[in-house]
Amino acid sequence: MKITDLKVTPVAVPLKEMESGSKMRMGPRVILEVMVELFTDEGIVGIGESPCFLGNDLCSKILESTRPALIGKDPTNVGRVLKELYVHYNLVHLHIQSACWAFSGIEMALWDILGKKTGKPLYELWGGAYRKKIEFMGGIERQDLDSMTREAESRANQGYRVIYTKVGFDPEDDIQAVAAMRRGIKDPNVKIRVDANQAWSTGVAINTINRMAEYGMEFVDQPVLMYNLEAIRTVKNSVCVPIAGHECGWTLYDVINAAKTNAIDYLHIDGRFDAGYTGSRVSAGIAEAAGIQCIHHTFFVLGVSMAFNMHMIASTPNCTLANQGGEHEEQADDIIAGGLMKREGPYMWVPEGPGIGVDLDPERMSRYHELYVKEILEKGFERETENHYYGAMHLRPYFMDECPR
Amino acid sequence: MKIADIRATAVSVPYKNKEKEALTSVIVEVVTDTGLVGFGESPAVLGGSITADLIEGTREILIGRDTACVNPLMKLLYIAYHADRLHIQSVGWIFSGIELALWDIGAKTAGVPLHEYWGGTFRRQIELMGVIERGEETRMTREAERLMAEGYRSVYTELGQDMEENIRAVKAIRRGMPDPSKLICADMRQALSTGMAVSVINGIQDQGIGWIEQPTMRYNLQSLRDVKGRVRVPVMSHESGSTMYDVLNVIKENGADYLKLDARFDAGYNGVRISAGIAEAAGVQCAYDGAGQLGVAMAGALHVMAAYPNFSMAYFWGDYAWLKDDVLKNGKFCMREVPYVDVPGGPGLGVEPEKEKLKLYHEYYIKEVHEKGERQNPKDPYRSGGMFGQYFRDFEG
Repeated sequence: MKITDLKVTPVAVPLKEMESGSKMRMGPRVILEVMVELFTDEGIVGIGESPCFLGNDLCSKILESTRPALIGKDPTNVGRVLKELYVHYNLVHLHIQSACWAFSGIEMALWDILGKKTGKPLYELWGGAYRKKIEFMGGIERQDLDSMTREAESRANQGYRVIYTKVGFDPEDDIQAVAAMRRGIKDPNVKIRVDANQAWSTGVAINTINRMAEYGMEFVDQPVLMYNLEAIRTVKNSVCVPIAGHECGWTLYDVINAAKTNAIDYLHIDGRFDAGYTGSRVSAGIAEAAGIQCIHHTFFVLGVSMAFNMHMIASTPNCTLANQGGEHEEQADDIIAGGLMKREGPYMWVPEGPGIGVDLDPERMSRYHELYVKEILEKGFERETENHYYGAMHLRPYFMDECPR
Repeated sequence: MKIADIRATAVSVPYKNKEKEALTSVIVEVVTDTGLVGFGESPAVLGGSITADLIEGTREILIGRDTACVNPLMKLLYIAYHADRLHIQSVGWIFSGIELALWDIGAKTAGVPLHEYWGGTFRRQIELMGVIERGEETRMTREAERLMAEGYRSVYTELGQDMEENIRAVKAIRRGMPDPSKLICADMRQALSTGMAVSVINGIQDQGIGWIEQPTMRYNLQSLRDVKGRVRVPVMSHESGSTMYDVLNVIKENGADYLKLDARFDAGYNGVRISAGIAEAAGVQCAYDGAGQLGVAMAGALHVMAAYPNFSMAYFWGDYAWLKDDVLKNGKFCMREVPYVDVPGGPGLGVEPEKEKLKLYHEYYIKEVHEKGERQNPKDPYRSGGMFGQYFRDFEG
């Protein structure tokens, strides 16, 4: 089999309107992603989804530039094609994250083709499913305290067993936010998970996390700077709340270092920013060898990526924690045939068809490509859809004089 | 003074050897509201046109900002492009040319050369290394003879996948330069595993070796440290210590005897200052990386090497010597006397691109590089694949 063509389609899919004021969003409330289709000489088409890192326009251009490296290649040789792309874009010299994220959609499409050719769902190609009912955490955006209590209660009533919010702003505010969430969650088995995205210094992390402990914490994610594994290990060994690694374990190369230094209790995996999904399977394997449980990381993706992630979660033994992907509930629509996948409270089900097991809907693809062009690209919102100060954590303290609260 | 515009021009400059692919880079101009223009150059990591688009996309954030706020502005860009979530090298390179241009503006308005603006003139000339391309053994011997006759005091070559070939190559070079005070330095570009690296280096370490660069893959600092401990020649880290965050980890591990630094792939010029400072605190000398630069970034490199104390090592400036031309007003950098190149005087960067050349080499980029498909099939990944090279050893098709 040979790859004959590549099609790249940037899209913007609307989210539902939010009830209360959020500190997170600027510009139109949409999910931006770049959809990938790989065509073969045997008529099989593979689909994938790349993140809009650097912008949908630029991600699309990078994907378009891969054509000469893809056409004529055997798509079932997934590992080979991916590594050749890395060599070609000098990702063996620069840090692999300089462009690996753009190719993640291509890799998804390659796996989809292999699955379709063999007639197997991806979880089966990867050795079988440990679970087909996939659990997600419920996320709450930071907002006024009463709204946080109300939303936490609502999430708990929906059946979520892990409820999540961002921290790393003012430590006192962060502790109050966690306390507010616990006021809405009566069941002590329902835990609170917070994510600091590297915001704190070691000392502040230890102090703040220990003060949060009384509210029933599942774990604190990436409390300190990603590059300093000793810092996160120091926090882990100084608090009574489990500590998860995220940015410090982006790639398999980082995960081995985290495992070597016993730096984390839990690990997030994400094939978009690892050395591909091939890389994240290795990362999960290293974690398994170290007795570390995993969470699949994601953030505002569409149905193709969600489905792909579920195959990963299903087939990875140590993906035993509630996964990211709660934003799925906020979507008003999707680009897959049939619209949004079935969800009941915190649960979704891994698709059973060959490959990824979902199809693109041509009408939705066309509609949401136009929406992207008219409402995002032409209005200059490419890099404005998420408020940078909200997510950008370890540089944030340098701008305390400029940052909004 | 405020930023009025950001302009980025993708250019490709051909080599004297027509078979060699042209050097593509992006020249950056930061235009101020007084009319003063600062110059910089970003590497074309994702291709000339995409890189230029990325640079000009920063207009929204930068236009109207005070040019004096170089460091806060760079951090704002890092935040806006999520460089604090992924490894900073994923996007830091984009803005390196903008940062250099802002420093150029700062030093120009101060009326001093950039290295002086940065606080020091430790050296006014930089020693260059002679370069020997891998190939047939007698040719390498003759090259070494020629370089010694010209006055070079050290030579640089690459070592790759084939262990025995590596050892024969170094011996061939040494035959052309019998004076043991003239050192051979070699870059392994992450090609080998720890065991193989130790074997190769043990096979050449009586040949008068200055340093061996990055023998093993960038992410495993213990393997680098272990090679260093098992051989009798100095080991230089490059990719392992590519940013200030990585440099700290290399130093913590005692992973290298020397560091090779590069502002374009660090957290910028401010980052490379910190990297050099961390090295200085540990008593480690630094070299600078010269690959893939035209004269604007080259000038930036020379100012960095002049400004900070521990850039005491000779400089390998990549294939620059074989370029047919440069975009600069005064043409290519030349050695006043082999093997020294002068650090530019000021004010500012001390060099300027020429409008006609920007136009000429932008057109060359469009016709000869961009329209011909900037990305072709990867050529010979076994040899070019760095730390992935071994994976392609057995693959036929």
